[in-house]
Amino acid sequence: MPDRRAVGEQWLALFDWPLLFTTLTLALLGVVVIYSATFANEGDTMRGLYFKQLEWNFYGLVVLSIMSFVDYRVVERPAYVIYVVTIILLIAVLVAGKVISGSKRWLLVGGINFQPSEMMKLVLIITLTKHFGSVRDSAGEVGFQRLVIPGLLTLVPAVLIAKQPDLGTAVVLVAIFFAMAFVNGIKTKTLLAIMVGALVLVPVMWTHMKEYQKNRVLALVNPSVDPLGTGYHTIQSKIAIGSGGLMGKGLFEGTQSKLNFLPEKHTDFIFAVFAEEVGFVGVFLLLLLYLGLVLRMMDLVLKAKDRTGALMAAGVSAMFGFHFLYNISMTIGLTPIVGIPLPLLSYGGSSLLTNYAAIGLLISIRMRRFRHD
Amino acid sequence: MTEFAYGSDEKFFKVIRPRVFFLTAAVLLMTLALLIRLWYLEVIDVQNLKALAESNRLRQVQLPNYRGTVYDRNGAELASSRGSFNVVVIREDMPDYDAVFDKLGEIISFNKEEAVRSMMAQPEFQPFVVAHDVSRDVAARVEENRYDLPGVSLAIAPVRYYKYDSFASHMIGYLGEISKDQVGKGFFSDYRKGDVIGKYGIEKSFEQILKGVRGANVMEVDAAGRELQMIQQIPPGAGRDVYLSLDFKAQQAAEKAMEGKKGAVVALKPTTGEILAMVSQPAFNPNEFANGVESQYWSQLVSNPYFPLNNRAIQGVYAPGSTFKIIMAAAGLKEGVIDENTTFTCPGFYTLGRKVYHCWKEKGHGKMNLLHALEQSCDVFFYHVGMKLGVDKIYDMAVTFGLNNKTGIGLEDEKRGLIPSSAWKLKYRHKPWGAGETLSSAIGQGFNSVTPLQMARVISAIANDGWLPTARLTRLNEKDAADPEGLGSRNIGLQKKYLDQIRAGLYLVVNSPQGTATHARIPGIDVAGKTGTSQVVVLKEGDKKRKLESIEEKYRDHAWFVAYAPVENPKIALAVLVEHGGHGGSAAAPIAREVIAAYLSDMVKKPSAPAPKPPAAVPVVGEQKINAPEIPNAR
Repeated sequence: MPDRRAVGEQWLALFDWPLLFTTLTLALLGVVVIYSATFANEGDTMRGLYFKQLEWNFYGLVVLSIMSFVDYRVVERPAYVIYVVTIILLIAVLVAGKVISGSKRWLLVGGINFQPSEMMKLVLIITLTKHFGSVRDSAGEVGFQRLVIPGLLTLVPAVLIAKQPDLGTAVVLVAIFFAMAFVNGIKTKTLLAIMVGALVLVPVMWTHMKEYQKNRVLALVNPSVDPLGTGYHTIQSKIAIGSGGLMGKGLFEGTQSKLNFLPEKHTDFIFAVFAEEVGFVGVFLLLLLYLGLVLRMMDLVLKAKDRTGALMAAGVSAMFGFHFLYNISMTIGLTPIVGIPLPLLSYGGSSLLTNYAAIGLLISIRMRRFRHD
Repeated sequence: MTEFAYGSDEKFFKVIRPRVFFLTAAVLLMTLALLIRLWYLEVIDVQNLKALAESNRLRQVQLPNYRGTVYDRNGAELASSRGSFNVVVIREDMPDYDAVFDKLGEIISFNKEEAVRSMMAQPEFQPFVVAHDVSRDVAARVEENRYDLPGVSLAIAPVRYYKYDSFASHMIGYLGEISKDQVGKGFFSDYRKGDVIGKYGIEKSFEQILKGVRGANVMEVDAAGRELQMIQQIPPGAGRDVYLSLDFKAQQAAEKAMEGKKGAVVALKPTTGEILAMVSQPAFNPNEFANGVESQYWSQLVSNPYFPLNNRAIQGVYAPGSTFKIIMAAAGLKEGVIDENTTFTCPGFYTLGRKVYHCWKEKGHGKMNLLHALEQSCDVFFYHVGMKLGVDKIYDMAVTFGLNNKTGIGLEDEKRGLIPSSAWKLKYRHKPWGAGETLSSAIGQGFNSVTPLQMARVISAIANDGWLPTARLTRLNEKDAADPEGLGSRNIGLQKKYLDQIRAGLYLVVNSPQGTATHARIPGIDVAGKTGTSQVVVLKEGDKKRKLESIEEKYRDHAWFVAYAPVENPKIALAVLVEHGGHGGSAAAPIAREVIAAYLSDMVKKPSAPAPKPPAAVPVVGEQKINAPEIPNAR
């Protein structure tokens, strides 16, 4: 097996060090910001979170290593089995999940709470890759009828997750689907037709949305309507970010987070904590890091050895890109608030492991781009 | 691994290349959009959002701030602030407010439902006042039971205290809670909801001086509203004190003399215009508003048909009646239509065309010169003067004396009164001036109306050698008081000899047996003045003979008396108006006498013999040969 030897000998040279370096920088930054967001809190549970995140980072690195040394085509093979198992887990969440602040998102396994919905994102990427790969249409000729099965593959977990309710993650799945379908070669006409259809669907969805979800959309239009209610998060987040100014209030000096004016400060709104303390300069650098991360991932779409690698890279790029753009835009009041964390920075083990696994997958793809088989 | 058909991937990559570029461009654009938005928030809008973050973080806990004290000219405390206890509750500190309120109800009485409702409307951790100004006894009981009353505490709050209740109430005024539309606007830009402000009188006019600087503890709070630490203390600054020009004794005497009557007294220092007394009856008790709570007392005041909240001294407008003859005399002398020797015969009436205008003395005064016409208030003499002058010359002189204009004393809602002129009549009544109206004007009736304060200034100008003083509310220091022009006094431009001729007449009004104000005499003090009667309705011929008591009160005339004393060196000038009092000489002059005697008490001759009764209507024999030798031009 010449390719294996090649990888074995050249792996140091072929390993995606820039991606790993960016990932680790962001992840460690996350630990620091989580510390800053929580150290002033009463009680050890919150205060200890940064250390837990550090632990998760360690496990994440292990996952990343394993994923990068396994051939991504091997990962693709059991895709449908993994998909079915994850769907079962999602159903289990709805039946026997743990409720935390109004949502059933967690499953207690072996003493650890984990979120199958986070795992679902990566599973969907692999599953769609396998499906798109198995139906060999000519590139750029994929019509509507070819999207029915991948559409259903996406919708089933999306609906299950939306029921938890976790609208954010459901939307991420849809975003992944569109990005991968687009890269796979969907006809532009079909894509436009789906978009028009979605627009028509919006009013229908509106009537099925829960009250708090509707309120969040309304609050986006005018957050000051009810400053202590729905608009509160948006207002407080904007205050935190804006009051940071050019240079920030200084690390660990943010008042909005210390005094608990910021909601979800160590998870979905961690960007606001960061922005308050390091200001525009720090924010600018952070955005550059994310941009570098995502562009590096997208670069792989064209550089992958094969269609499988390209589709996987496209899916992972979409996941990270959507997460970081949406999360920041919601903290600055441009989009409605849904539970979409900032990848690598926000606190959360399931999300972190998923991200590390996804990045490991991309490293694997990049390492194997020159193989001969 | 033959299932992967790598050969066909070449076309695949060719197709997706532009698509990946498109997505890359989209990501770049969106990142740029985020950066622009972040630039806006963190660099452009930073001040605004920083301020919001601070206001989130900081809460100002107000510290009591004491309002300045209002004194009379000699340092008697008229309005002061005292500490009081309010019982306050903080909702978040009460585990079970129902039980706490029940327990509290055993100590103080309050409307529980209403208190709960108001408390719930309060922002988090803001104290809500259950009871204002509780007694020491209640405060002690609250303190004793503090373990059964979690969330209940005592807060020290300043309360306005008017030591003499209704004393000078119209001048001092009262306080009240700031209204919703005032908060934060214009003058009230740094005021807040619930602040107490001056609503009337000096309290209102001198708000800026009296209010002081609000103090506060600036506390850091968390999102739940808990106070974490004190960031800064802004010490409260007490308001500055105000020394009124008011003389306690004069004011007290005036109020006592006016008790049970309706009307006004205004006394000035003729040289400086400082208000020595300002009485309006009926009055009110500002202590009733001290807590800013609208009470039953308020509705009583508002519904009282005699309008106790009106300051008649500056808001009451009345026909000046015969007091206006001072202005007629001044105009006549200045315009040269009369001199001291001019005489007119008074047969008791004056005919103009087919109409007959009566003198108040039916039998007539006979041959009258200016001196005696003033002394005896002969209407016919002044009808002649008025006809020679014409209405516009009368108007000019009245305006020179400050009538037809606000005095600008600095109290709210002062009235300007009215002095008619031919131009005025044409403009507002669309008719030319009639000669008969000049006759009414000449004796201060008809369209003429003035406030007591305006008349007090008129008589001050006579007393003060022709300098019309600016009326003022606060005490002057001696240096300022010595400079009439610096005080804003205005000379009415009347030669001294004319002033002396008028003053001689006014002296006789009080001191001659034929004078109309013999009731104003004070042993040891020479008083000069002029009576007046302001017609409320024109009574029928027969009614004039009727006794005052037989006329229904609301149809009785208003009684005027303007005076100054001592004649040689006037120290006080005043105007008295008694609504429906009848004749000035009998109803108003005695009040002026009391005020002058109180203010100049050192000069009043202590009688060795039995106290001299106020001069009776029938002149005393010993006082018959009265003249005024010290006034050279008097006859």
